[in-house]
Amino acid sequence: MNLAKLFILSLFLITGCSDNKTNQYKDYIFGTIIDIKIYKEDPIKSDKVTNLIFNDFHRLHKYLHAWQPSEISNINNAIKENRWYQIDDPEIIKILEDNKVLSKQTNGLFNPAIGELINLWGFHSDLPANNLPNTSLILDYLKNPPSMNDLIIENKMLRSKNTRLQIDLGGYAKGYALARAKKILLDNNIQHALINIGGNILALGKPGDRFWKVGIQHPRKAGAIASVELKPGWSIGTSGDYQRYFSFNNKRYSHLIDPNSGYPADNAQSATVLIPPIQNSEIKSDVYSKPLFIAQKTAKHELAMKLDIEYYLIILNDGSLQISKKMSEMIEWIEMPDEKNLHIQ
Amino acid sequence: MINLPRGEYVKIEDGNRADYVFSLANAIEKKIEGPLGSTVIKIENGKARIQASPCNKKYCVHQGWINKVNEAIVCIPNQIHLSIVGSGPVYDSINY
Repeated sequence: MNLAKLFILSLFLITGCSDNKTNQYKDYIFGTIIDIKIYKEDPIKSDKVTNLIFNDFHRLHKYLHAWQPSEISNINNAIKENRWYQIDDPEIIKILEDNKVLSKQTNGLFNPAIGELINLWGFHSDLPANNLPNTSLILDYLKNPPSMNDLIIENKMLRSKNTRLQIDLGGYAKGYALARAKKILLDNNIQHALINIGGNILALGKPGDRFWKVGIQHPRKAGAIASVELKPGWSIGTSGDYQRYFSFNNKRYSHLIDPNSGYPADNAQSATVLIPPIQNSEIKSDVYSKPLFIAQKTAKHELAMKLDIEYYLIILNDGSLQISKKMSEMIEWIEMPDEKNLHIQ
Repeated sequence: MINLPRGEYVKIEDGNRADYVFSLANAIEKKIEGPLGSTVIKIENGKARIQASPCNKKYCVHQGWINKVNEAIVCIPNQIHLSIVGSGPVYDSINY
């Protein structure tokens, strides 16, 4: 009788301790936190593959950084000096051409050519700015605003028709890195993982018999405003005014600059897009949140439709919410909004 | 007597199985509809209670405040179920 009880108790203890089947890894790259969860995988293999990913990210950081010495800053210097630049690496050419297409698709609201404007606002620094740029500098910039159309790449030679074009891939790099991480994981036969790069998340497979689940940060409070399931291959990205910004005279100036006004866009607090596993989805989950954040309030839904974004949540500057019908059916509120503040499109 | 952790949210379920979840860090009153009419739920100071109910006996109102994980109040006639939800992770990662 006693032996039986002991046996059953020990069984319980063994099974009770084995419920942590996920290996978790963290690193700090791209000026942000990377969090990778790998489900039910041999720990030695998980360690090895995660190292491959982090090494690749360190490489990308050096390659694509907008203001520290990188291939992109070499290109930017050449453009500033009105020089042609020879690009030997096909990866950079593909990235730049991808950015041209995306900028056009978003009616120029996603504009990676405005690096100089972002710098003017103080966001090309790891420390926040604390005052406003001279209005005359902004007006001067807007007289001849650079766009990705000014960038010409022919036979591995790059030049710009506008010498003020400065490439800043800040709105693209996290999505690109997600796609790279996915490739490395799948190439190494890891099917079930959750990758979070600075808040931009991609779900691979699922953790057992449920789906991966992510919280969506409340733009003005400490916790999440809602959570949503990420089915295999789905990704989510948010642009918000609550992390990279500065305040001056009680007004918030975020890093999301409206290329048309030259000023930080301020009609929204956050814009979240959820992208199913379609082509280029990881990059879209990063890039597409920008135009939804920046666009005029009355133009946001139309732009989402143009970009085939069926799942989005926008929290406007007054705290009211604009949500697509499909997103409203999928989202799980942690803080249920008042009906009068929720506008389902 | 086990000291249960203080919850962070109150979950309210109505007769249609709809769930509403609110942070206990609010000071609000919510009206939830049931077959008999509106049940009023009050949230303040990290706790929740049924403030008013259209039922006859008002047992649910007399239960008072709850704030610990697994504490619950039910109004059977109006099909309203209040429960305190703990601060365990409800998601695997956060998007920001």
